[in-house]
Amino acid sequence: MQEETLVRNLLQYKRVLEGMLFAMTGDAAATEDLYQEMAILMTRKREAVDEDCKFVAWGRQIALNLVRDWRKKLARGKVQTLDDDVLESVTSAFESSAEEAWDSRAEALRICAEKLSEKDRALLRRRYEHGTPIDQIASELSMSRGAVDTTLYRLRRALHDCVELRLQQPGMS
Amino acid sequence: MSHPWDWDYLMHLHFSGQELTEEQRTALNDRLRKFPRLRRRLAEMAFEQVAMRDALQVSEAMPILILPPEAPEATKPPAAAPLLKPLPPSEPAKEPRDRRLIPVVAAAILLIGIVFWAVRGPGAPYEVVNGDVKVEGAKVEVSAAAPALFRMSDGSEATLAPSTSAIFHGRKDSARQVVEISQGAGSFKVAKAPESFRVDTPSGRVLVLGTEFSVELRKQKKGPPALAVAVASGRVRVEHAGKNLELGPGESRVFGAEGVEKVEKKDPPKEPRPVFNGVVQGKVVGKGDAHLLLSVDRIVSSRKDSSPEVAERIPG
Repeated sequence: MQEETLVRNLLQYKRVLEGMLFAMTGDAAATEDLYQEMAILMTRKREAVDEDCKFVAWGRQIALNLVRDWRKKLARGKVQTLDDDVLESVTSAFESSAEEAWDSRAEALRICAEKLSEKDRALLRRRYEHGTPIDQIASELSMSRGAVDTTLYRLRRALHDCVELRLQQPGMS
Repeated sequence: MSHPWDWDYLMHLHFSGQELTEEQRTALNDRLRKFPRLRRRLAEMAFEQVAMRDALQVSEAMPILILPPEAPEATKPPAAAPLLKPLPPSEPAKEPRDRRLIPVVAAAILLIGIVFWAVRGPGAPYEVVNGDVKVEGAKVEVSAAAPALFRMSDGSEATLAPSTSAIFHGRKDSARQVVEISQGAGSFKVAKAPESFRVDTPSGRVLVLGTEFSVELRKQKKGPPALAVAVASGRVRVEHAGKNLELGPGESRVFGAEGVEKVEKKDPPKEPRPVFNGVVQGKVVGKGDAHLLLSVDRIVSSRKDSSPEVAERIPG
């Protein structure tokens, strides 16, 4: 694969590959690090793959290996949510969807996020854009940790439902 | 048989980096093994969290990059480098002595704007703010002399390059504004709103997810013109040859150039830096690590590669 094609694919599929890594790790910081490692590995191996190879499928194999290595390096006491055999089937869900479907989902999410109140948007930005820990948010807002967590959960679920609804509309999916 | 678990909540715990109890963990893994639909939901929610950062981005208003030289000083935004290429100015920059003409020029621009507004009526999807433009309903043709600035009904602004032909469709399909460019180039400052803003060209279309970008149609020896897109802030999605591609801040690409999508350098072109190369007479008034501050009395000699505007400011 030519360097130009690789760069284009890495940009085009960035969020799909990051989503895959995040689904497996549940760790936003680790996802960023692993995506960088993934990009480096793909750059090193690009000459061994065809120009028209299925990029997400190739990325999936690399992502699985990287996450397995990452899990081994973690402290032994840390229990991972997903079992080893489940990782593979979870990542296949990313591969089975068309690229346009992920683009449409991202666009629907943006539109749904615009409909949120300023307060809710501020909370989501604090948590997911700035990565502020839940405990810190709770302390700053004089709320309990559980209340912040529940609010975040409800907002994410509401956004997901909104996205699903929008994707069912003609011309969106 | 009913189950006691809220699977979405267990996935939320996983995505929040919280440890599940062994019972919860076992139940979630069993469920994921059995049900592809839940695996898909996990994938979708993971993707949404990753995409959340982009979705929550607040786009900030930025100044239009390319200004027609007639623009009054009072309304002139800060200078910035052009996105793709500098548009040719119609006249050299005016000296302060010409400032007395500014009110006259401003009045003329206002008059032109009023005339266009009157011709097209209040319901038109755009107005000409300034520039020499031939208007036929929604269709506009910018003169070869200078770029023109347009303001659309949603508050978005378009600066079209000289000799650009475009149609301002206003609301069309699901987009709040559609601008169709058949030749030329333009940069856009898009007002923030829930519905999309779209630029159609013969070589592809650009959907705006953020605020500021430019589009240029580049003629080729063979085939349709190549589409060059550059993003200054926010995000846009380019649809070309049946594919979608998102571009973020600082990114620019050429689509359809000799059948290949070409990656361009990310940094916008820089203005040439003024230099002086020669011998001067004067006093050293300050010293830094890598520079001297001079009070120049006169130029003893100046080489050809010195920038004329620098040499002109120095006495002698």
